[in-house]
Amino acid sequence: MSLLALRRLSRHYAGIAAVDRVDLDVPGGGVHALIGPNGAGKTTLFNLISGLVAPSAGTIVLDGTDVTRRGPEVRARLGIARTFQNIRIFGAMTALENVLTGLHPRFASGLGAVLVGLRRVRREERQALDRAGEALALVGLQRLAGAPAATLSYGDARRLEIARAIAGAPRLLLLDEPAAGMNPAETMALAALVRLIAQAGTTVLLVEHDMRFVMGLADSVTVLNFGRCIFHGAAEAARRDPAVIEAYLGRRG
Amino acid sequence: MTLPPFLADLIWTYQNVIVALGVNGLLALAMYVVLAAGQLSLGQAAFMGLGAYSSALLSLRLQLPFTAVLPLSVVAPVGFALLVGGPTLRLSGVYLAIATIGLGEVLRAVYLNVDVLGGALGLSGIPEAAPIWLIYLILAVALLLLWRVGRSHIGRAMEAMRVDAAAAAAMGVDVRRYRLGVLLASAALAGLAGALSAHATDFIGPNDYGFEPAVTILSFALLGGIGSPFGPVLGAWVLTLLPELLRGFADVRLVLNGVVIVLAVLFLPRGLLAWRMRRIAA
Amino acid sequence: MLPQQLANGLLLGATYALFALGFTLMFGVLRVINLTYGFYFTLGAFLALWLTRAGVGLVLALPAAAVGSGLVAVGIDALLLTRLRRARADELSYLMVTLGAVLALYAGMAALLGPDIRRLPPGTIDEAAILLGPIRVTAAQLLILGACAVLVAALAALLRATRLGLGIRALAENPDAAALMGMATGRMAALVSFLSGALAGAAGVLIGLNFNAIHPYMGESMMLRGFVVVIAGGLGSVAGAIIAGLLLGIIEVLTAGYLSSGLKEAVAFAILVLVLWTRPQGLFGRSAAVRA
Repeated sequence: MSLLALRRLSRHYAGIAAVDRVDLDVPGGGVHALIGPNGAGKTTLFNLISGLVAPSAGTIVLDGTDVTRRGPEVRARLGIARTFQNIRIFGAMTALENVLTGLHPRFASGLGAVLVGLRRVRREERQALDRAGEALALVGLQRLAGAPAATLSYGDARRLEIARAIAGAPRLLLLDEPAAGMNPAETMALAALVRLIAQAGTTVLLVEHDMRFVMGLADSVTVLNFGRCIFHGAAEAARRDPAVIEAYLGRRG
Repeated sequence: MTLPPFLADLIWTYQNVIVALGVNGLLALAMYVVLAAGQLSLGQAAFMGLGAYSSALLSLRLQLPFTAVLPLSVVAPVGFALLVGGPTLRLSGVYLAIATIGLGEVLRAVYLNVDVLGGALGLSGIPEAAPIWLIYLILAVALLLLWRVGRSHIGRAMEAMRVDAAAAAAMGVDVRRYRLGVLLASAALAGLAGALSAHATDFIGPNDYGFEPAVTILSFALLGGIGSPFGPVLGAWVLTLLPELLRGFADVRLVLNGVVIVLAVLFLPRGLLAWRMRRIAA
Repeated sequence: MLPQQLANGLLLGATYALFALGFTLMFGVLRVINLTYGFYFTLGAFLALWLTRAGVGLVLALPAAAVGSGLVAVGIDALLLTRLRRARADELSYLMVTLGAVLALYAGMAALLGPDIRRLPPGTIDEAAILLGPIRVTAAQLLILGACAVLVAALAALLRATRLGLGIRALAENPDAAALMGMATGRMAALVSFLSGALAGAAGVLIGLNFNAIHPYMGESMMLRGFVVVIAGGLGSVAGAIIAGLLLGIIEVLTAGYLSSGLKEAVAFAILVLVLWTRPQGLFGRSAAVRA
């Protein structure tokens, strides 16, 4: 059974289908890429999967659980984590606090325990701090743990967002254009990081325009065009698929 | 409690100001709670009015002791917040601000038109049962609790949703529940402030809880800054003391008050106390 | 009784609509709550008062007061909000700055002029009443209705037919895009401030005429009505502001006539709250205007 199954998933905006009856199966494990020309509906699809946008029709099933009508916070608890195309970190918080926020579902203590100052709260916080520190170390940001997130460089902010997303060890990680704006060296380091994340057991689904990055990393590729899925299969096969070639070359400009 | 005579004199002379500092501090915290989670809800004056009127009625009509009245004073505002919370939480930004101001105006009209609430004359002869130390004790406890919450994962979730509600939701923060939670906390704090001020000044009137108090409470929090719960209290104190210090300029003191708010927002966008508390609880 | 009250309500509503129109323009185009807006209403009434006292006829005093209020609105906007606009401040900052400014402005006016209620000089307008079937209207009321109709029509024509109107509508749709397309959003913002300030000033003159009571804080209670009309009508919707304004006037008059005059504001706000709960985009607004 696949980890994520989308069935005839659609989202319309004012009558126009941004995502049009997409069927997609993401198997557990590995790195999967979602590509397509600009405006193909990739980010909308990510918003549908993570629950920030409600579908017009269709279903979203995560590991056998139908989450179509569940809010984003429920899906996060069920193990869907994501980053955003336009980096959305919490600027006034430190890098460490950002990552701790990503661990929010891990906290079992409620308001009462916090108000009374139970010892359990402090224990949970210490565990979270350990995990957050590991996540920061994994992306290479441990020395910037105390820096306000707004002061980070572009590349560091992207990596912080990844650290925030993986701190809770999600089952499915959605990366929206993680390599955007990175130089070749940074992109290579990012590819290594994504491989590491996948090896640790998190299934990665990523949207990316950098084809070399995608081809070197992805086990399978799904191509969207005008909201519809036009190809699904191995990365190498996508290069030779006529529909994909047309989508990329035939209608450019 | 026995105090040295000079202190007792001082408190007696400035009793109204001292009470106002405590009560306004609590109101500033009521505002802080919602602002900290990104909700521009301006219902604090209305909640305060509900606390004040309900507690005054309990004292005047049922002659309940203040120890019973004070905890009961949160019932009406919290109940009202629960009632309006569901539909109101769908709103955000200026819509929420205007809806909550509207609710306050509806309540004001109710106070004005219901006989048992005294109409335009308000309610007077409320027993002066709220001692000053109690007001400050409650303020201190509220500060302590908000400090604890602010440092915890709950405080982080609140700041996250203030900055970016969608991103916070994607981190697993139940935004709707938090919004209702902060609204209820705000209602409880403002209700307590209302009951305390009603029982410290013996008189309440319908115009004490309208539009102008609502925005004044907002200006407490923004002037002070919302990086920590101390900022709003500082803001409340400055804006409460300022008119007193300007007493010599009776005519223009309201003008100066307004000018201070303008200058503060233009030149101190993060408030007087720009310092931001650390949100790590270990 | 009822036709008379409907007529009175319509008349009151016309001034509300006029006031709300300027507010919805400012709100819809500049995307901020500008609390100083109510002050231009007070200012318009006072300018007309001074002009008529100096012997200027109302036909001249009304437009002069409107223009004067508009100019002051531009000045205050430039003084207070340019800085915030440049810093792309959040809506809270605008709310606070204009709150502080309006507190200072009202208080300054009350300190300079005293808080008491003033009346227009006798004979400013013909007090005689005209009977239209069962309805009795005064010349003042006819003037108010006429002025509202002319101003609303002029604004509608401006928005629909001119390049300027197109620019304003573009700015309302998307400020960034409008700036990119080379429209001077700074100048446009000043123009919108002028237009809304002038509308508020005109409404102030007309309400001053209608009730013949002018005092520094008259803009404050009007501001609350402005909120009701603009939100109920749908933010930035011209037609919505007019319809909601007329309805509010009628509802207030009917509430005062059949229930109690103390309840008229409560009824208005109860309606506002109900509208927000059931249709957050307003009765006539497009849902796109709502940012949930």
